[in-house]
Amino acid sequence: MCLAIPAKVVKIDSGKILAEVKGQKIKASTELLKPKLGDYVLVYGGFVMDIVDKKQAKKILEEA
Amino acid sequence: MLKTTVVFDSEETKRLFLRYAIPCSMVLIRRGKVSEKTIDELKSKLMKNEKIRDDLEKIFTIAVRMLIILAKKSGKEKIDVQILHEYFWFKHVEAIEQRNTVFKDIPVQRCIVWPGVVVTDDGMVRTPIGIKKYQKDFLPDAKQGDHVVVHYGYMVEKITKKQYDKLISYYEDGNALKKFKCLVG
Repeated sequence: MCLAIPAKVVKIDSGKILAEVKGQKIKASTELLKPKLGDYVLVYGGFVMDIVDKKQAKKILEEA
Repeated sequence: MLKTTVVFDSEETKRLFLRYAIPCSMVLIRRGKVSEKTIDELKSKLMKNEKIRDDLEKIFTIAVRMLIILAKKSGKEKIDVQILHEYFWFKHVEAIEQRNTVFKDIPVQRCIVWPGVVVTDDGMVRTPIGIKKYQKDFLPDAKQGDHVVVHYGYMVEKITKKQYDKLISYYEDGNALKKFKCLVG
């Protein structure tokens, strides 16, 4: 839970997305949730686990 | 979205989940995801053996969703103790590794669920990262010689010698010991 990675969706493929954070790209499955391009998501264990607003994502990022 | 009102197979499994999840919930409080009062209430109910709310997904969103996914993959409708172990003993370590490669912001040694042996009745436990004192709130009757798992400063659960050996060999085989031992915890 506290280990999830906040990242911005930069590419959408069928069934998965590519999200970016701190210049790194992370792949994740959209089996659970289907975010849109530009959405902020929480990635965990290879899945998009939550879609959050920019403010929330920033808050998690600032801690990092 | 998932329909997740009752996702645990029993009240006992739910309580065991909380013993793993509550120790690091201060991170969720800090992020404004949940209030300190909510966590205090949960802990109090856990300690007093009162019924736990069913909507834990609202509080521990990511962990509960991961457990649901693991249960589904095993063909189970609900989260049972075996799924809890699969998550907190194994899958959780992978998540720590991934988070650590991107951010390096987490106290890795505290985050990992370690197997250990109780060395004194007042809470000293020997784990692969050394002998440290752990809170006995969840295992008040833990005694010298017991095999336990610890998480974020707390003793969480008693385990069998067989489970202990399995966990120890997992860390050794996966090279995780070497990888995480040297990090500041």
